[in-house]
Amino acid sequence: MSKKHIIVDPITRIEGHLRIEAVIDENNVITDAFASSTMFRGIETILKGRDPRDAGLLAMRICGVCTGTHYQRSIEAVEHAFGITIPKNARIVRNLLQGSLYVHDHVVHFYHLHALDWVDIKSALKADPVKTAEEALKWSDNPWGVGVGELKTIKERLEKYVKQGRLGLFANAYWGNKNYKLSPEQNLIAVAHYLQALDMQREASKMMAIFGGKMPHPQSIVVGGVTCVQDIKNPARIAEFKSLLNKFRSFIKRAYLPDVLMAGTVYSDEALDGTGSGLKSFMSYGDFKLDDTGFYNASQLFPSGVVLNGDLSKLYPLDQSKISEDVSHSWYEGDTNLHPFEGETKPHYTGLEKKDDGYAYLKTDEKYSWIKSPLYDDNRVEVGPLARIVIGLAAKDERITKYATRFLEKLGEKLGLNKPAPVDVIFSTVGRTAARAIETELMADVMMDWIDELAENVASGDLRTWTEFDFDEVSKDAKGYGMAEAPRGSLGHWVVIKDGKIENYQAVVPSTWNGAPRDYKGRMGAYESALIGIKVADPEQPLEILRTIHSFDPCIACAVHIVDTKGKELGQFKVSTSCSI
Amino acid sequence: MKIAVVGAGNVMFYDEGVGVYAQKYLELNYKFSKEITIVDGGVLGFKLMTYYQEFDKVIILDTITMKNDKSGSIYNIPADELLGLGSYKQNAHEVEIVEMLEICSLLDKMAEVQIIGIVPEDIVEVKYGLTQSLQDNFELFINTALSELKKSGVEANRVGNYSLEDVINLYLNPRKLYYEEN
Repeated sequence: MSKKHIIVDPITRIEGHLRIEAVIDENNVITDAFASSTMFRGIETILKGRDPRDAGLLAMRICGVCTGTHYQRSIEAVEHAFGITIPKNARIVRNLLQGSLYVHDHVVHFYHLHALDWVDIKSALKADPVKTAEEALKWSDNPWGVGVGELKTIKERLEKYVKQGRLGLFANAYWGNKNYKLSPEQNLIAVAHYLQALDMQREASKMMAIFGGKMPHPQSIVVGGVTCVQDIKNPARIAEFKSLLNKFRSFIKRAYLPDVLMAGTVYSDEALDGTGSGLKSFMSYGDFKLDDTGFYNASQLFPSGVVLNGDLSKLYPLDQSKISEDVSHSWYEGDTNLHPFEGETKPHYTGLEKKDDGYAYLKTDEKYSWIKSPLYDDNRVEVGPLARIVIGLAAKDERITKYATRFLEKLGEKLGLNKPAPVDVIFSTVGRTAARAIETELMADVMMDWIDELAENVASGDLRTWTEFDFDEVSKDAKGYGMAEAPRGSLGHWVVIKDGKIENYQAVVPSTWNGAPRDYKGRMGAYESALIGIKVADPEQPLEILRTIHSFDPCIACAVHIVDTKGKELGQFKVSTSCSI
Repeated sequence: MKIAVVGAGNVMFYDEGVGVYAQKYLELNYKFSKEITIVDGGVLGFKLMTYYQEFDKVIILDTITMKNDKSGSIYNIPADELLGLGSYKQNAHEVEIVEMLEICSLLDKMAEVQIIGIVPEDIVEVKYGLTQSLQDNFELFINTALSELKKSGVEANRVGNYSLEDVINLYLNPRKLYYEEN
């Protein structure tokens, strides 16, 4: 039960696995990388011919973590097709539901799916609890749950687990790897928060349940609005939501953000040299409507737009008609490059290259992934929290700029620069992880305003939660799209409706944008590009690859393959996942 | 003792929906001698952790991949054994189930987790329903869950008359499933 190297052959699996083939040179530097995935590829088969009012409930079964996001996006696509604007209460409730998903996802992602790429649990055993409590005060004026007594208890627990061999359960942790850079005390702080976050995440799911209805599948959103009118009328429910949010927000400010600042400081060399920067071109569909002017007119918490080649001085407005999906290197027929309204899904699996040594390799010159290669105006782009922060900065959004700048100022101070850290540090693996934390704090704060706004609106006598529409009339011939931001990036659903039934349906998910293979010009996708140039300290322990791939919050289980320049496979490793699309 | 039965899997991929259908079948057809929580887990991802944390015993109904065994075969395995069992990690939600077990293994207190898995025949095709071999073994799958509950002192009485086909139809007509049944 000690360290396990688990071999997952992603190709025998139908959906859900990402495979990375990284080629390293004699200095262990990655010179080439290929991302291949089997992914969900049949949503239209399920949705075609169905009642558009069922689309949301069916679509939320695509993926567990994004349940709420697929659900909402699908319903918005239908509302957009029908020309329905939802009432103010419904807008705020949806923002609160989606916001809860953000803060929940991001905290779990950092502590439970990503932290062990930065944190060495075993090193924490060497920490002195008194020194650890002092260390924590360097990163927060009021650190969460790391008093000397608490730390002693946690250390004892850890010692017990080590004796029981339980740390061996972590398949992808490489304790003692020299690219773990935190001190024993810093590691102990992170481990303490790792354990506390397990309890905290339960509070976040309770938040979802208040307006979402019976968990785990939310069901309070319907075409036209929301159904939870009894809950928003009940001041006790509103107060409960606020109290849960407040506690979670406290954890974000006193544990999550300080821990990311600590890691960002210790790993600043990697941020400053741009390790893992990748494409440096970003896209955001924009999300969280702040007023009731309807589809794609309302001002938004996260602005939409595109930034190319790291140039923050130029923001391109988003035009959904410029999105296409190229299948040159994907296991679909032909080499089409179509807009999602016209999108086709005709599988054409050409398999792997056969090798004699028992391993099969991707045919990287040909088709090698189930993911299509989405393009924006013929550009490869990255999506996700970093993209949203970058677009916010380029759009000179006041709120986003304030939160991002505050983090850069603190980082600059910790690095002794006497000025904010340069904005370019965000173009890195560290920056991607920091952007997620910055966004979480912003979200938790703004949700406090939204819950008050909801309470005030209800108190003013406005109880409308649903906009009436004549289904037979609006569903004769319609098409629409729900384009917004899931926690891990831009998510779009496109729907074509004829005579009350769905005629065509396409969903383009965040991990399609980030995890895509080469395109028709041979240009890399975001994961592929982010790995180039990374030096792997020990090819038997691909810690650096995991760190960079995890920084994207991949929603696909993932098997990492390291291949040397002669094509010999050195090993297969599992990458953790939070979702199964 | 707080007990949860969680049906996991993606109903969009044919046999992969078996755990979800099974939990709904239990919920609709049986009355239990003690209060238990029945959860439509779907592809829950990390939201499974909450159940590991809040219950004393969690029974997961799922597919399980076993090399060299025929479809429809049923396994009843404690999660502890599963952590060392590489072959279980074959489809996406299975990865999550094991992974969340890893994460929760550092908790002071975690539920005793039991996995009842059935070997699928087809998890490739995108459609609702079950293949013949899983339909043939569905009753045995349900009985395995019931006998596991009995070990924890929970007796079941059949009170409903829903067939497997009725349950599958509910998932195909989700507004009925969510807004009328519940």
